[in-house]
Amino acid sequence: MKSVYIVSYSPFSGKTAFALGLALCLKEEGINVGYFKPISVGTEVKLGRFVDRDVTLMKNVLGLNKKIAELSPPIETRIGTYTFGRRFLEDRDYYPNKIINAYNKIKNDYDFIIIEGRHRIQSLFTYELDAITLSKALDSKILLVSNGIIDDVMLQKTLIEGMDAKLLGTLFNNVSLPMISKIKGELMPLMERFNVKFYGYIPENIELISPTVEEYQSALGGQLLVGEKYLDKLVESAHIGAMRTDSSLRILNRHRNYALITGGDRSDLIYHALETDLALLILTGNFYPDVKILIKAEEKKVPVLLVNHETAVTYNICWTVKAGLAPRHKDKIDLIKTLVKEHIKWKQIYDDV
Amino acid sequence: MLVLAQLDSFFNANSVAIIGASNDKRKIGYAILKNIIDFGFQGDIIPVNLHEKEILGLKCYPSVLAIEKEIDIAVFVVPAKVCIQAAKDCGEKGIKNIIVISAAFKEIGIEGARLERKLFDICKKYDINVLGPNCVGFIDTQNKLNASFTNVFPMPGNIALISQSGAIITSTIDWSIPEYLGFSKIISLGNKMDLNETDFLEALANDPNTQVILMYLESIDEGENFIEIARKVIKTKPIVVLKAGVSDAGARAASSHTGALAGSKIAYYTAFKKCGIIQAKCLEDLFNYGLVFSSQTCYVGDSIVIITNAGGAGILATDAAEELGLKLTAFSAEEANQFREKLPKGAAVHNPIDVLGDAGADRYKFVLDQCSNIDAVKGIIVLMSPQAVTQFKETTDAIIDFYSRVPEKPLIVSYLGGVSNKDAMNRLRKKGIPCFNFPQDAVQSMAGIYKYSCVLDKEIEKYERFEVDYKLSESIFRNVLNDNRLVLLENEAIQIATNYGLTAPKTALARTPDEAVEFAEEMGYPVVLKISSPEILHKSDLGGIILNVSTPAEVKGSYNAIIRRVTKRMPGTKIYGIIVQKMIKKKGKEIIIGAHKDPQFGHLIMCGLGGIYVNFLEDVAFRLNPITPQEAREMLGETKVFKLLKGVRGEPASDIDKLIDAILRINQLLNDHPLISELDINPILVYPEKEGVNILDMIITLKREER
Repeated sequence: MKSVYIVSYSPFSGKTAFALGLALCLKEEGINVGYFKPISVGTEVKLGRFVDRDVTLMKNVLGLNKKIAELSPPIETRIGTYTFGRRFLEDRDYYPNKIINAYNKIKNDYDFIIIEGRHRIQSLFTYELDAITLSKALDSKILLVSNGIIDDVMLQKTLIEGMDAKLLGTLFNNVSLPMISKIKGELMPLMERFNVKFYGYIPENIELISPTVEEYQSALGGQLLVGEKYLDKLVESAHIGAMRTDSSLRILNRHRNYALITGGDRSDLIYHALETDLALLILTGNFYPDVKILIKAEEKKVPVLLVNHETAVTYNICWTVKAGLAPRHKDKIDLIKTLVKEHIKWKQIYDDV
Repeated sequence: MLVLAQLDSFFNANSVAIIGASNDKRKIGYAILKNIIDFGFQGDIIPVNLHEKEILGLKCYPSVLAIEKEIDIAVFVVPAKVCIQAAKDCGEKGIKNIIVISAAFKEIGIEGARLERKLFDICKKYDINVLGPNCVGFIDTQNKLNASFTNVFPMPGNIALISQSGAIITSTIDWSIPEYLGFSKIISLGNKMDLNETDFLEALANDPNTQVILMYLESIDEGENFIEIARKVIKTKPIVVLKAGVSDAGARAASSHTGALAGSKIAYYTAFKKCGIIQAKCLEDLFNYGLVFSSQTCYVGDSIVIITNAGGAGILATDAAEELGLKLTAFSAEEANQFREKLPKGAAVHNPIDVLGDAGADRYKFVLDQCSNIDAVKGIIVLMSPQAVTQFKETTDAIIDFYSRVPEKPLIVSYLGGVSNKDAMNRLRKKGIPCFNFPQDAVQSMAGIYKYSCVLDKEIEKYERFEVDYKLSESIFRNVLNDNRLVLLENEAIQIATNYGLTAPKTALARTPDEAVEFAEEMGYPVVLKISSPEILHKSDLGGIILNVSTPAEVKGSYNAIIRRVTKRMPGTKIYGIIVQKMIKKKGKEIIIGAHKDPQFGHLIMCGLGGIYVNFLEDVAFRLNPITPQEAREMLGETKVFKLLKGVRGEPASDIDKLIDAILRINQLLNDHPLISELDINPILVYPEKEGVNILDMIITLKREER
């Protein structure tokens, strides 16, 4: 049985997406791939229990015949850190043992297990439950998913090796076009010099990083006035429309699939914005729009969301909305697999662990 | 063509079914049926109502399917939801024209809009033309069909009125009776679910009973098609449009009035100008123009004569004429002497001709007859103010007589005052001679005739085409869209410009400082370095431009400095690299060429004073794409900066020909690539004559195809 421990220096680096892509590529080769998340995060409540969305995603997509608790024993909730602290003071081995036992129970059922770390490599370091410590306990090599900042990679390498854990290598995710020439011309030679194995980079893909209308609605609340058929539509960016129509349009014209945040009384601006590449209209302050706007929005297939918040608050919430991944996102999952297959030396990862 | 052919049976209907006809006098279904009967329609009138046997003495049918005869038009006066089944029945019956008077469709909200869509789909399935819904109806005075619920009947005449507002129609008819204004067709567009202003414009072009088309519009659907049709129709009859919703507040009101998308004021004005449409500023203007175009010959020439019995009125008319581009005929000495022969000594014999306050009919008659013999006089305005000795009746007789003898010269009258002139005015109007209370109205109407005569006289110039590599520009645009962008990087925009034969400095995108040095060495120093990011609108505001970079070390330093400044001031911005551009030191006049794709009318091209003050001085002019060389020259001529380009205070004239050439090349670019939503060249430097132009900055924004 082989395993790899996927970690990152910062949250939302794309660990789950990569883990899924890697697993699907290996599965296609006939390799029996398993998944384990030592400490999961309770992101949603199902049947009265906190569950980690990543774990349910992997279980469903990979068709793992295990219970959630088997794939991820302890669940951290909002009050979790306090629980971890109390437990640590009472019995420092309680959680490590629980994790190791769970892992041992499933590890022989698979050829290859992908272990996914928490948000950050250092998370729960205080309680000896960080990714480096656990990778040693589970006898697994660490693969860093990075956004391409070489300093972060080198710091993590130093940390991992300093703690006598094993670094497999790194890969870069969500790489922008201008960054590619830098990776090829500068970062790859640097990593070679410092003996960091580089498994490739996944280019930025707007379909993967853009939240859907549904995700915006879930974050903002409010009432969807029209466009219930377009909840899966992607929203690439969000902009406030507060200026004069012509000034606003000069900016809005430049954006694709964007959300416009404005008051329902800005009919002049909204009418023109509906002629641009608008993906979602967010009307703030519970200001119900002219009904003709709704008609035009429906014609243009643009969902209209009426929210209670004022414009600035709405904008701040929009900033926090992240693209999620669920088993029903078949197209996204296929895309992830394709990107990993095309851009990452995934077979080599399997061979090197 | 199918629409046009079917509209023929709309205009020449032999049978009408009224679905929802009623015996209840309070209902519209009763009023419509009564109007059709009372207006004297000679064809078959068939009421349809499930619960009635007979209405107003006519046999009533439960459904159109129960009628044996063929039906040309069905008028719907049933609740909105019932219209769906009624439309299906009409489709099965083979009826090709429907007027939906019924309301409660998209004007009431989202559910109404969905219902309207459903109705539309059914009608299209059966190839049915639909007028409305939510309209007042349709009146054809020739065919004596009044399928509307107006309370008075219009007089027959040669004016066609198309209106997006039902209230404007009912008010107009009410007003037109005492004004002796007659109509050929009156069409209430309502929600314009199917048939719109362009369909009727095209159909009215072939209507022998219509001499002038008046339109009250809040929005125009299919703007580009409207322009194409209007340009053809205008060569056969004048079109006068009153476009409501041109102010910001007005546009909002229009938006919330009939579900119209009120387009930008400039786009509408430019579109009307391109077609030669006469633009009315208010309802009064609209009908004044209707009055003159329905009766007067359209002359060719701007030279008119003003005959007055009051100096003040003459001056007012002269001022108005000058403002509106009309000239007062300059009489020769011989012609002036001829006037002197029979006019008192105190009379002014130069234009305006003042026949003095004590003038009787004979003086007016004399001057009118003299004018008929002077070729240079292309139009005549007669002004008369009420004085103790003024002979309204006799003078009116003389004018009517003159009008019957000399119909080739447009004649417009203004009888000032309000009480003494009333009968005389009515007599003139009955004879089809436009008569107004105020001199300015008379002059403005005359100017309308002149404008239209210019449209008729104007030859359509050919569009110029240049040799370009279409596939190259198309592939650049596709690559941009594939890169999930809508904005071209500057190096891409410059590549497009040079492909279209425009001159621009060498430009390249560097992704590393070393690459920037390589490009600079190739181009030769000095160079300009600019940030390359589609998200940044004003590069200089963020410190994203460094000029006059002269050494490799400066290039590297400037490269890093720009990246640092921009990432600090706009963190998270997607930066593609740094644009390296050959620095242009040669001075020229800074001009802007821009374009914006209007949702209704397509690309609106702009040119004028460029540079950083463009938004403040707004010295720009517009035309709609495509433009001819003449239109490009006219557009430039409308700007103040044009005077500077011609050379002032000893400066040499600029290379205007090359600037026009650049405008025409941009015109072709827009024509070739409809996916361009915005284009900004600011500035394009215009050098002295024969030295050309040079583009310093260019932005192109695209629009994806409808998803």
